[in-house]
Amino acid sequence: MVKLTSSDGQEFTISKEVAYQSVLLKNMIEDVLDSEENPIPLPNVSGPILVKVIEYATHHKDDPVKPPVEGPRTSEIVDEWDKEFMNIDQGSLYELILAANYLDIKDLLDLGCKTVANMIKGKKVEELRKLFNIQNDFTPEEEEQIKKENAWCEEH
Amino acid sequence: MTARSFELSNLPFEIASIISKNLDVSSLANCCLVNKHWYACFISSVWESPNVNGLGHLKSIHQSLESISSIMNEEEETTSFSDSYNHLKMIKHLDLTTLVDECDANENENVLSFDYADTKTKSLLTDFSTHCSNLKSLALKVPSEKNSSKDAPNFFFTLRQYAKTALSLESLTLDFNDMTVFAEHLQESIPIECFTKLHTLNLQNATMVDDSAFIWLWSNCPSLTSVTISQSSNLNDYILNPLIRIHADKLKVFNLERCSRLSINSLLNIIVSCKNLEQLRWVNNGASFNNRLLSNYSSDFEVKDMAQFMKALKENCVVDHLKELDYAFLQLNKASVIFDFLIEKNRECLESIKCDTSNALISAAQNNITFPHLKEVSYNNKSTSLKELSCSLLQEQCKVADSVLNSVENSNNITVTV
Repeated sequence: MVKLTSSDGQEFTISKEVAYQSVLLKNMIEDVLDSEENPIPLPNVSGPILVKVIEYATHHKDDPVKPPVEGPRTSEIVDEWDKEFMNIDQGSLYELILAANYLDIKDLLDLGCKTVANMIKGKKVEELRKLFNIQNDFTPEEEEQIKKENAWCEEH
Repeated sequence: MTARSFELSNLPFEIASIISKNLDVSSLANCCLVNKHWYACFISSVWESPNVNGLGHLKSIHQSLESISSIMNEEEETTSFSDSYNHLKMIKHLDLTTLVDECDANENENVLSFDYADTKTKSLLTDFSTHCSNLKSLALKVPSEKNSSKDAPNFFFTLRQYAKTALSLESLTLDFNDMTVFAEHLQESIPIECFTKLHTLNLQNATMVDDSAFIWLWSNCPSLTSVTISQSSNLNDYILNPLIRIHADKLKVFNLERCSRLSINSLLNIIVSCKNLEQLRWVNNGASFNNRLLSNYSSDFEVKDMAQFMKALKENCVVDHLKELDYAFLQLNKASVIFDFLIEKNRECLESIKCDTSNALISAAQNNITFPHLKEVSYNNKSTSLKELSCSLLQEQCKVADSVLNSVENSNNITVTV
C-alpha cells in the first residue's frame, strides 16, 4: 500500500496498482521512499481533487496501455463512466487537469483536455468569454487584425 | 469541491496544446480572439497544419500571410502585440495534394483545373513557399494528364521552391501520378541539405520513376526510417537492394504495394536485414500484378527443399519485434509461408495483422494460442469464421481490458478490433 498526503493535510492510503497510474508516483515509489511508512506529500493537489484522481485511477487500473495517437484526434468521449466522471464544475475541472499534469496521468489529462475542447467547440468568441469568465483585453484594432489574419479558417 | 471558474489564463502552454489537438481550425481561430493569453496559447495550432482545400483557399491563406508580413515589416512603433508571434514560421505540415484532388474530382463542374505550368499558380506556389521555412512534412502531387500538362520541369520547379527553404524537412510525400522521373529531376530540384533530417519517404504512383531516381534517393537520404512505394513497374530487386543495404539498421516501416517487378527475394532480403522493422506492408507485389507486361517473369515462389528453407529462415530472420503486418497476393502464393513464419516469430509483439489468409492464424486459433498485444485482425478468408479467430486470438485482451469487442463481418472481409 502507498500513503499520500494532499496539500490540505488529508492522508490517503491506496494500492500500488492504483498509484502506478501516475508516472510521478511510480517513479517516487520505485526510486526513493518506503511509501508504506512515509506518506508521499503532494503539495500541488488538494484533498477533494485527490479523491477524484484516486477514483479515476481505481476505475482504470486494469486498462491496457494505449499506444500514442498520431495525427488529428477525435474529442468524443466514448466511455460513459468517463462522461459521468467529468460532469463537474469548471473550477474542479481546471484543478483536475493541473493535478493530472503534475502527477503525470496521461489518460486523465487527455480526458480533461477533451472535456474542455468539447466546451469550446461551436461557441462564438463572446460565448467563450462568458463561459470562462474572461475579460477581453484586445483593442478593436487588434481584434480586427486577428480576424483578418485568420479569415482563411472560416473557409474550411 | 472548489467552485472557482476555469482559469485558462494560468494554464500551462503544454495543456493548451493538448486541448488544441482536439479542436478544429475554426474553433482554434475563435479561441485566438478571446484574449491575449488565449491568442498566445492557440495561434501556433491555427497555423501548424493548414488544410488547403483548393486554389482559392491557398490564395486566402497566402493573403493572410502577406498581410502579417507587411505589418511586421512596418516601423516598430506601428506594430502590435501579435507581431511577436511569427506566423511566417508556424507552418509545419503542408499537404498540397488536395489542390490537385479537388480539381480532378470537380473536372465536370466550373472549377479551375490545377496546373503547375500555369503562370499564376506557379507564382502563388512560389510566393507561398517563402513562408514555409520550418516545414516538417510536405506532400505534392502531379495532376492527372486530362486536366493539365503533366510536365516534369514545372512540378519539380515547385518542389524546388519548397525544398530550398525547408531544410528541416522530416517527411516527403510525392505522388507522381505515373509521370516519368529521372535522377536529374530530383538532383536539380532538391538541395541535398534538405534531406539531412528526412526520415519518411512516400512515393505514390511511381510507375515511371526511373532506376536512377530511386538510387539517387536512397543515396541522398541518410536518415530514412520509413519508406513507402506504391505502383512502380520499374522498381526491381536490384534497385531495392541498395536501399536495404544502406538503411537496413534504421528502417522501421516498409510499405511496398503493386510493385510489379519486385520478387519474393526482396521480401527475404528485408526480413534478414532490417532488424528494427516494426511495420511491414507487402501488397500485390510481383509480376502476377501485371502478367501481360511481364509474361516471361516468374512471380511464384519455388523452393525445392522446404524444410531446409524454413531452417535457413529461422537462422537468418532478424525481424523480431514487428507490430503491424499487412500482406496480400493477387493469386494464391506459396510465399505465404514466409508471412506465417513472421506471424509466429512476432506473436508477442504484433498489434495488427491484415491478410487474405494465414495458416499461422488458423493454427493459433485452433490451438488457443493468444497474441498478447494484438488489437486488430483484418482477414479475408471466408472459410474461417470470425468467432473462431476473435475468441481465440483476442480473448485475453477482451478479458483484461473489459473492452467492447467491435466486430464487422461482411461477405468478403472480417475485421476484429479491441
